[in-house]
Amino acid sequence: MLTIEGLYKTYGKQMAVDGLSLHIPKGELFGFVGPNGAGKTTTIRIVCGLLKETGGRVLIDGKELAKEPDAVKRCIGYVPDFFGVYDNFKVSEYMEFYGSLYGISGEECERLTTDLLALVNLSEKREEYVDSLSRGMKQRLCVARALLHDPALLILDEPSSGLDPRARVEMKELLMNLNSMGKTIVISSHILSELSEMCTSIGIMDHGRLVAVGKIDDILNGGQSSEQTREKQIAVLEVSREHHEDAVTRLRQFTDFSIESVMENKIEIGYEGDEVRLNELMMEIMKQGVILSGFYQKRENLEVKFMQLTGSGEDTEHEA
Amino acid sequence: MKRKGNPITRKELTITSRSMRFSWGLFGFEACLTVIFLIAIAVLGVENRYSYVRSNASRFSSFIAIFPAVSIAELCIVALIIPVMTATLISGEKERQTFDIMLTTQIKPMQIVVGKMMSSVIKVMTYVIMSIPIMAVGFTLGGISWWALLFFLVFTLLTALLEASVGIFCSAACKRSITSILLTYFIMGLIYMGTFLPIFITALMDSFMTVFTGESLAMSGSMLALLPNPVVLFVEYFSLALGGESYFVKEMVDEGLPILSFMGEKCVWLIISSIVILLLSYLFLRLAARAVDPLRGGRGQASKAKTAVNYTPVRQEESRQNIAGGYGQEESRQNIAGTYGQEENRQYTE
Repeated sequence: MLTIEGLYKTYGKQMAVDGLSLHIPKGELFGFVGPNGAGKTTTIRIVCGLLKETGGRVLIDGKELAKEPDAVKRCIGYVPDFFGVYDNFKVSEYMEFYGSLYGISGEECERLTTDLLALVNLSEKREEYVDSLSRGMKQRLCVARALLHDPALLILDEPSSGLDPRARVEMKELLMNLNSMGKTIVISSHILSELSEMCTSIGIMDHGRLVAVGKIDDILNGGQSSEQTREKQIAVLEVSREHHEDAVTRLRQFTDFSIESVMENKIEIGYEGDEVRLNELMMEIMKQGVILSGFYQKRENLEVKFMQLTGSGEDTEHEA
Repeated sequence: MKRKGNPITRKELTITSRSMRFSWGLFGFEACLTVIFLIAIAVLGVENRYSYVRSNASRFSSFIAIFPAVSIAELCIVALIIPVMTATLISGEKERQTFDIMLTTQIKPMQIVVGKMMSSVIKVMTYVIMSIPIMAVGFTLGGISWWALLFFLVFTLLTALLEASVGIFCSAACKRSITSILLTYFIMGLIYMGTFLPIFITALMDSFMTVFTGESLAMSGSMLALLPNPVVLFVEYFSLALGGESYFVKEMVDEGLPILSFMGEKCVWLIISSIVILLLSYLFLRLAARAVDPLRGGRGQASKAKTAVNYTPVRQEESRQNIAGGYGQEESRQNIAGTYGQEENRQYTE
């Protein structure tokens, strides 16, 4: 759906996007993450045709942005990070106005407005003024507006910034719903936990470069898919206080894994293999009479990975 | 039902019609004109009282001067308010980020600037049309035809088009509204006053020529520089409407400037000047459209692209190494164990 090849953008001597290459297949919900100034917004603005690239090219649905900007714009729905409102403009008029900018008017625009407002749960606000809506409602209205021309690709720049938790959840549900309808969605955000919950794949940007891209699990596994992982894994066993000593004694008898650390009601064991192997081990442990109240595989989270991947550029810069 | 016309103009007018600012602006405009009208009547009354000629006919004819007095005042107000009105049209949209959304739609940059310009011209023309009752008092006294009023509206429209085009261009080119207003005043100042510069230079050279060689220079060529000047257009219009004599054309025909003597019509200056003003407005609109088009505005950076592409492979290779080696699992796990709290995938036993 979206292909970026060797994209460059410079502002004077400063390199904002540095040779970015990326392919996002159709139907993906792709998360773009990176620290401030990493080049996410610049990339998004170039893809939306709001900024001229210095080098490289952008293809959407096989059409090159530089050669067919109008055709490409028809494929894109853009939601900026800041929702601008016009004073004295009603929700229905707002939709009608943008509909006419997309070349949709009359009954078709009316029908689409009704459907889209229902989709974003704003039907009852149809005749209210836009500036009277809450921030979350405005953001959902902005999504409805971006869907007016039925774009194949929806691009959202920090859609959850400044939203309260409820509005965030609603926005997340809306995006996941749209993704399930077949829309390809590219979303840039700083809220990593949110991205990890809804995105099918992510790209981590730092200093204008894409330092990691792929499925979240693959990125967390350092570029290897979970099936390929054969390195040492850590599992945490939860044990009640009264069974703690007995459990440690019994676990020491196993040779399939090693005890990494012992805490008050948790025991960390190191083993080789995947989640299936962990389940087998747990079955064996319990058969030997170890009473567990729970267990889980200790995994990296996106925040940790993000910090690792995006920290190096700063170090290098300081060293230089 | 399909709505016709430029959607930007429609939107601007919808918003304007609901705002109190426009109503107050209209009130202020008409109030100013009324005050000027009353002052003009008072001045003319005083003049008549102390005039040596005290016939009723002369009193009536002097009141004809109310029309140009109110018209000039109106033009001055229009010339002052349009830059303020247009300055925020593009920069305001940019500040709200609604401009970015507009640019991602199917609408062309030229349609955006034309829509914006039309909305401000319509607003100003509403002010002007609403002032017709005040100006019409001059007509009730006779001496000026209704055609004169119609042409006044047409020339005011042309002036508004030029001012709004310059204003939109400045709004598109400048980041700040205040810079946009000042730049509009500067460009309009150049058009209003700078176009007299060739005449000034010619007159200066003529003086030197007369002193040193005894010959004189023809002024009519340099007068052509005044064609885009709306002030001159109105001077010509008023001289035709009130006195029936064309000042500029007469001057040029007398000096034998070929194109004008060929046409030889009274209102030739008005026609050519109107066309020049329209062309100038179009030029400023094209420039504004270019300034707002992000895909065309970045043309000048092609040379930088080549420089950047030269070291592409090295950078990409570095990135790849970083992903494969630098952020390997072993290192990651050590960091995790040592530093950070973990995200768990809990699998509770039954």
